[in-house]
Amino acid sequence: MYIIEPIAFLIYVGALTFYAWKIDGTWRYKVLSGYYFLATVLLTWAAFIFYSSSTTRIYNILYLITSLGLSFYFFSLLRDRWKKNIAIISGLATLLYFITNTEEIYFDSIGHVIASTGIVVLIFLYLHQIMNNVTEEPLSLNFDFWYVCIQLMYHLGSFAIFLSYNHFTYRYFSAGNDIKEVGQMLTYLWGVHNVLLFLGSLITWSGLLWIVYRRRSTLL
Amino acid sequence: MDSISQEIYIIVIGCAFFLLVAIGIIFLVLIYQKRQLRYILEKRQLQNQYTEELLKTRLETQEQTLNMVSKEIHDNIGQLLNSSKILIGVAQRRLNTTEETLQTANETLGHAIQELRTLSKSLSKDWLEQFDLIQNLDTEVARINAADGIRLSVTHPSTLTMPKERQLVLFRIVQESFQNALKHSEARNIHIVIEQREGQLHAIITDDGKGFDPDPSRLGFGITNIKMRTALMGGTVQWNPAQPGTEVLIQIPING
Repeated sequence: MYIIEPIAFLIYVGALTFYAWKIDGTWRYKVLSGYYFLATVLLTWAAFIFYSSSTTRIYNILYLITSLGLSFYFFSLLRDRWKKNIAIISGLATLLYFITNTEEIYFDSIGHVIASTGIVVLIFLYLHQIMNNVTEEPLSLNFDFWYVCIQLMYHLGSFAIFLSYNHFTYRYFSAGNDIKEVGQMLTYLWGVHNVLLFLGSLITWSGLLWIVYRRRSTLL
Repeated sequence: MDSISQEIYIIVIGCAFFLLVAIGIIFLVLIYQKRQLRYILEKRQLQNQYTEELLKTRLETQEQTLNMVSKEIHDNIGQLLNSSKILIGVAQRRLNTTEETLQTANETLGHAIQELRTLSKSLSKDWLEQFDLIQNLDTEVARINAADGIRLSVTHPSTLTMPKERQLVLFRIVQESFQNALKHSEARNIHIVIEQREGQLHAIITDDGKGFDPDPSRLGFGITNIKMRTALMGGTVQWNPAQPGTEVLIQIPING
């Protein structure tokens, strides 16, 4: 089950590299591609060591780079100065929490929630931006719109999992003789998160292929 | 175990709820964008309709004015000149001598009457509607070439498939273009090319004059007229520098 995460991130790497290479070479896609590559490496490592040692630190680094990577992406995507400032604040808040929080816990729900909340706020700012600047180009041909919608579904859909996962891991380790069943329940819960992540990566590719197909048909 | 599984089910339901909220938000944005786009397009369409109506009205007014001028030339000035020619003839007969100056004056007057008739015809919409663009252009070229100093030539296909009404507007555009060259560019030679290419009619007017000043503040009524008429026909007009002089390239869809 844990192998789905690096695969999903690898699919994202492919999609964003393809987009940055073939369609739009703007820095934000290159940075985003780099972020997904780093996340793929981290999660592959986590998948290998999962049964032998703790992966908490890796997941903590993951929420940090997710927040920093996406904050940079939105900083570049948003046009208004105040919106750009919120993107900076979002990244800095996660970084500050990451640095100051040295306590070793099973799953850092607060860190994940801070990162996800910041990203969801930035997504709403982007949606506000496109609603205020309606263009004749259909949104279905806008890669940023596809990507942002997928991120909204992933971060909002996983929000309850991020928020509660620390609580459940404590329950898991404090559980007595039914530890196996609790562990299985937790795996199912994280599995829901993984499904959202994997579907997101597939939809990103679908959107990308749709954009390429439509652009080629228009050119022909 | 039971309580933890219940809690996990609640969380999964929470996830599904938030996911639905996210999907709902995306659909709302898409619907909003679609409605806004429809509103913008409708607004633009109304603006275009208004501009088109305005242009049509202005052109109709111009056509009416030209028609009126044509009638005035034919019915009033033409008649006055005819009377003058008859009176000169009577005077010649009374004098019983054919004074050379009087003879020349009579001939010049006859020539002027003929010129005025041709001019009156070229301004009259009724007359223009009876002929096609090619015939009108040939007549116009012959009229201009009759005067000394300017050499006007035209190359065109034998027939045009363009509707009569559009041919008339195009004729006015071409007429205005070479009149501009005659009046302002000090050209000695003007060449007009009419071509039909892939559903478009191209009219290229080239002169060997002093060139065209593209400064918008110095553009006259003639240029505005050309732009207006071309826009009304859904076409484009370009003024390109030529060596020497200017090339006016007009592209108009054959069927509007």
